[in-house]
Amino acid sequence: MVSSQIESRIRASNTLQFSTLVCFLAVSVVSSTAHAHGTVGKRFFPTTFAIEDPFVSDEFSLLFGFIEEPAEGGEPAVNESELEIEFSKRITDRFAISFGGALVHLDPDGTSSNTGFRNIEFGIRQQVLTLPDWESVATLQLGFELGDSGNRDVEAESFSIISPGLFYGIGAGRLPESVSILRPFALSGFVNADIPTEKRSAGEKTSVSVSWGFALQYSFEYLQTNVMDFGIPSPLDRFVAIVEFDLQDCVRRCGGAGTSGSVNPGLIWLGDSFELGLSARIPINDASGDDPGVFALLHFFVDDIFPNSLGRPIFHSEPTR
Amino acid sequence: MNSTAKRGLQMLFVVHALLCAATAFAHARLESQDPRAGGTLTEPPHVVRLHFSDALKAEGSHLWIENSSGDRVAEADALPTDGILEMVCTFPMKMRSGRFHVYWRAASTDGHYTQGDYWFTIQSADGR
Repeated sequence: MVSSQIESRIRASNTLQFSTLVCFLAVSVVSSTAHAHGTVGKRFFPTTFAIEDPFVSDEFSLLFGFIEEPAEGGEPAVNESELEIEFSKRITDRFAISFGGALVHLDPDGTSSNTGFRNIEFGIRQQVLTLPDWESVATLQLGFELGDSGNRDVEAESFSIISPGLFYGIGAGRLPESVSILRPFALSGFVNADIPTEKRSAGEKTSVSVSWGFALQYSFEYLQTNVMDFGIPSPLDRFVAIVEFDLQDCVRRCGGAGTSGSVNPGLIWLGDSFELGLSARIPINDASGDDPGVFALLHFFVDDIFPNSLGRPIFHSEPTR
Repeated sequence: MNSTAKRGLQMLFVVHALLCAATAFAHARLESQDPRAGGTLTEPPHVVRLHFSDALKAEGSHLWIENSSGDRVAEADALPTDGILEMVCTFPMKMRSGRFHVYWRAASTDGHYTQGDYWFTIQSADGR
């Protein structure tokens, strides 16, 4: 008994030492070349709250969201807290895979609360357009939510969902000199279909929906370095002001469901290897919620932290730009 | 030292290593520039100087200046070595007035590239 405990401790200690060694090897590899995340020409597109990146990258993201879902069809209103985790890895310079999940806490009015995981999500992404001079980028994505991989208590569906989508970003850097103060603006957006693999589940029809939206952003760093240096001191010069419009429309087997979504005004702060964000989450109509919620984002640029190991495409072929 | 304390110390070591890595490998951001973006000067500057947040690689880092017609009027010498935080370009003193466009591209030692450009104006004392 004692000997097995000792063995177990030694094993645990060896595992930790091994991970320490791996970690140090990862950060100690000699530097070479790799692409920076989210940079197209002189434009940097930050990761935003509800709208996926329009580019491929190596990144690790934590997004906390809170909103009060309204009462619907005899069901009580629910306070919903969610922590989404997503990891994305580039296979080539323009192709990436991702996987993610979410831990959810549902607190309905008048009944007991539930905590559990939503279904696991996978995705493949291909960056199909990159125009540095136009600060423009576009990416195609095929997402897959694995049915029955989460907890039913938090409304994880029993069926899978396939989600093809297009994500884009464009900067305003080519606006004429007379309106140069507007050049720090950029627009990113997406359109995405959510198609269930089954037409019915638990006796009810499963709906097909389209998600779409855009984010209007203004970068103070871009303003300072590329347009007009107003002397904004650090770290205030690293803020990006943003307003997201995140919408969903049911298109087939809707059962009365219409458009829902939120407007998310917030601020993002860009560090050297991570970003922080905070935004309000304002429902656009009664079907989307009663009161404003919140998003909080902590996002790591894995390609900056481990540029020559974990943060580098597995098959790196393109010359650096 | 008991095993819990030892594990705690090791975890701290790992977190420290990650944070160090995060600092060490960030790509080069432009932190300050002289002359400033959009600025107006009454005298030509001796040099155009860009200061970056991270060490630069000599290969792949460039700085040059064009006049309002798009002609290149000055170009920085290649960086003498890796690891420097600044790019400096001598400005031609004969250029007494006009608008000038500064272009830069910075290769940081982690291999990432950043780039940008901006204008500044020299307005001579007689207002030209």
